[in-house]
Amino acid sequence: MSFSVNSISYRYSAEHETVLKEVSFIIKPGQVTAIVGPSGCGKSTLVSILSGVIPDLVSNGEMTGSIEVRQDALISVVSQSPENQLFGYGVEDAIAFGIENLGLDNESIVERVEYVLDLLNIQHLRQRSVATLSGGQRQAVCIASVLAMQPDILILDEPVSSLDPNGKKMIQTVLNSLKDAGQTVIIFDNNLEWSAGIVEHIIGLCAGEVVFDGDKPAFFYDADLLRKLAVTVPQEVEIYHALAKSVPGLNRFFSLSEAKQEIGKLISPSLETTGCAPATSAESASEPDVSVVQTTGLCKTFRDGFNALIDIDATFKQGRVISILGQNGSGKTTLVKHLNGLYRPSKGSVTYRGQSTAGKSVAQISKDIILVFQNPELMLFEETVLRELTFCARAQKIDFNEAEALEVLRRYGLLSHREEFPVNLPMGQKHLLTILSVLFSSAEVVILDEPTLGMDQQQKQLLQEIIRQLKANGKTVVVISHEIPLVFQISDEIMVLNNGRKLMQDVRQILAGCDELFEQINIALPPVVVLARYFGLTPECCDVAAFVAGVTARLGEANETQAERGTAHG
Amino acid sequence: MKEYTLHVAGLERRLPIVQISDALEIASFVILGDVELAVCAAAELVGKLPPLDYLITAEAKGIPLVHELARLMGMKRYLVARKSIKPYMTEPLVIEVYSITTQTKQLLCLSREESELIQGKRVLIVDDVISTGESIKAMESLVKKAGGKVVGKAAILAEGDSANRKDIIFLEKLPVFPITVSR
Amino acid sequence: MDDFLQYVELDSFLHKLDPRTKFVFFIVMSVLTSFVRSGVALLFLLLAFGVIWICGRIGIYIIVLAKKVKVLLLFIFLLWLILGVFRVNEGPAIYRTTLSLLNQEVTISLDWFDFYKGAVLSVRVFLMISAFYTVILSTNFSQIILGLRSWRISYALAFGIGLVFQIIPIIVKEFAIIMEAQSSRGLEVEQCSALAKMKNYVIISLPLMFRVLGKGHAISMAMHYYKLNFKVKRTAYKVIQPTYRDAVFAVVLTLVTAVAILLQIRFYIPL
Repeated sequence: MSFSVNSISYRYSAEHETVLKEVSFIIKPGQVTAIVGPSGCGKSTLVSILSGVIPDLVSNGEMTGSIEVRQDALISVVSQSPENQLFGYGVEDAIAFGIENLGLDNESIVERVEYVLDLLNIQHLRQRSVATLSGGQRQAVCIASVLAMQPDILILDEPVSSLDPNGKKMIQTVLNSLKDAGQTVIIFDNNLEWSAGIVEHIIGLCAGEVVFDGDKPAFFYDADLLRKLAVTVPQEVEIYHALAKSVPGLNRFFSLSEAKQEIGKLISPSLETTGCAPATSAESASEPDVSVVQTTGLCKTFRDGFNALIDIDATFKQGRVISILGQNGSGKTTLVKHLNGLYRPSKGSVTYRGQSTAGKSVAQISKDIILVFQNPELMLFEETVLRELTFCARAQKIDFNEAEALEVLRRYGLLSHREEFPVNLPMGQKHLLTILSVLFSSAEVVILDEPTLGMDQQQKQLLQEIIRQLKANGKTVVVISHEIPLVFQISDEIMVLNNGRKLMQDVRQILAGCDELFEQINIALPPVVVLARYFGLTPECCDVAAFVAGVTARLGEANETQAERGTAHG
Repeated sequence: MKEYTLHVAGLERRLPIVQISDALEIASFVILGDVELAVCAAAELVGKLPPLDYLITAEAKGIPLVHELARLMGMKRYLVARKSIKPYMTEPLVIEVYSITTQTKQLLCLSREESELIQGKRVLIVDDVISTGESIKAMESLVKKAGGKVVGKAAILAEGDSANRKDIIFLEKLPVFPITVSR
Repeated sequence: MDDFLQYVELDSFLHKLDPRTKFVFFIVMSVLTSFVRSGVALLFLLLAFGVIWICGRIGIYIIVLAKKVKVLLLFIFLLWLILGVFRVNEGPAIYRTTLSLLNQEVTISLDWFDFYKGAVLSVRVFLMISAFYTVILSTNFSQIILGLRSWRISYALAFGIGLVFQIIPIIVKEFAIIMEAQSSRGLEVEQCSALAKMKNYVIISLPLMFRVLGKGHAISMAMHYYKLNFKVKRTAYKVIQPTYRDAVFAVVLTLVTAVAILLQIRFYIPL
């Protein structure tokens, strides 16, 4: 019993432009499909149409086309913020909510609740209250609550965007269980990194039109398509495309094991297993190390006795990009909130250029250290994008040049929106905007909390440009992010926190060698690092470009040796 | 997966330890499908039982045990209390149980013939593991409602604090593992 | 103070009571405090409440409530005090004098009775507010909905009430986060003038309003996803049942009410 969408076109009103243009596709039962597309391509409208929100709740748009589905089929959605979707104080209340609405008898309700608790392996959470769950657990409970209604099709809308690596793993396991149970799932997420192992069928949407409808290998093979759709792909795919440009005869690979196999046909894997290699990087020796922000013996205990931070000594140097890694609850956000004064230490101190930050208000500290929160919707309130961009400058009473501001808008694709209400922009652009407003402040230290939230791949490239620009201007950038490949790509130094303690802080090349450390915090090293170490390339390979250079260099050496041998025997 | 090694009825079994709440892990005892375990446990339990007329258990994990016990004692019938009203039950005897721990209500049902069978007779309640004691209590209410007399409660294992109870017959204690998180 | 005005999860007898028992408590206490005016009776009620709060382990939260409403209570106290000054009352006076204003004799009399009256009225208000707060602190919104439903209140209304209590803590938290986010961007909220503080609250309430609107939209979509239809009969997963604790509490409540009424009759000073 397939489900087919036939030529759906939609616009919100006669004045708006058509958001979806003749969208058609077929979903087979039991299949896991991913629908991807750049920011603003019409994904959310499609979710609303498939779930029936349009036309049931939003009735003043114009829709043509039809959805062919079984008469009383149930299509349900798990939204990206489960806290807005769960109705019920306790986990069991929340899970039972949907089936209670269906008017099932008590026996069936109990049976179904037990079934989903077992299937998703969350029996141990059943007595908890929803508010005390972690992000991943809450998302799992949300999926359980929808699954209990036995929907024909389950739509997941960006299910892992705000989750830490543990949360992502939990949802991957959940998704596998769903697939094993034969549930038809559609995932709307432009980030395929986490779901690539499970997704089979991919549909690409661009500017409201279907530009791709096929299986996963065909999708990953098409580099232009990937760029056009601004999809975040597993790093192995990125490596393949980058490598294929300079290395002829390379077979396709999309997973780590395939990569080892295929690249292994060209260069041989290294026989040594290096641990944390000593620093040999040129970077750390060149510039003078000026410490800008320092924490000494920083401890924080909250009112309920929870020790959030235990004895943290950390230094943030000028002109460096420092990323902080760790699972949720490790203390990352608590630490950065001490840097800008939102939290005051229970013990220890925070100093900026040698002077303690105690006694200053957060706004005063923001003149030197500014923190951009992860959800832009908490901050946007101005009437136009231009005013929002200059908010920091005006709040801190700093002069700015309007021409400069317009230039920034132009460079980052927001110029056409400059007179619009910032609240109406898609999420990725909202986020870029709040980060850009920092460029006009006087702060020397910029802290970005989960800056990639809501962004597609193209916007993430713009973000990396912004960070590079900040660094070039001598600013210190501190980044908290769960996107590990990105972290290794942009950082100079990486700091690892776990359970309130600082485990390590050093240049990225050294962190790239620390297997036990990453195993301890249950975070996987990025594929490029794993591959570089597997083939024994120099420890510099923390990003794709360096890896490609390393491989081509090795191939060049191999060819040279071959050529030499050839001439010797010739 | 952590494991706990259980020694019971002369046998050794490795039980996986699963987390059932924030603060507690338990060893998961599964008798279903384990012929040797059911046979040996029944053999050891049968000598400890008081005189009785009928054995009763609730579906489903106690069934292999109660079947073996009944066979050893030469009985032709034993009773299984169902958790919902089944079509074969004419005029079923039903009790509603309200569980304080889960705040849900559950049913236990016997068919009319079964309830008439145990009226005025001595009945022993059997289960695989006694943990909270709620299912045993529910079966007691059911037997009493049918007019039967509860002469004892037996299980292979008693979990945690239930091992301290004097009114149940069991072979071994099953420990629980509290989780302590210090921060 | 992000625990204010919301359910607190504790292991106390109050939390284990059937929600309907607590509703009855609130209704009885509201009625009682609206007609009981004897100071002695009110003090007794306050004492009884205190015992309930201590046994229910919510004493700290009631103190927080008291701190937050102390301005209101003080206002009521002073209001009646001032009004009473212009009336000569029986009983001992603290300060009495006669002034001549606009060719008329005006007597100003600050009596002990005025203090008494002000205190009585403010205690009454506090008892009423704290009775409600006691229920809120010890009953989560799912239990509230179950309790209201078992009293045959329409699901739409019960759900709406439950939703309000579900949303309040979220909005309180969001407000705090928005303040943090905006001040991190340079908005001065701590060391600034009162006028600036007021202007800042506008800057914070706009994103809050957008967030609330957004949440409202997300909630209505969620209601659609879960097929919530107020016309269709709903069943319930959980069942609430009174236990011996409810019986004990009901007896205690009856006793307290009886004693309060007795004291009211015997020690009443007309206000």
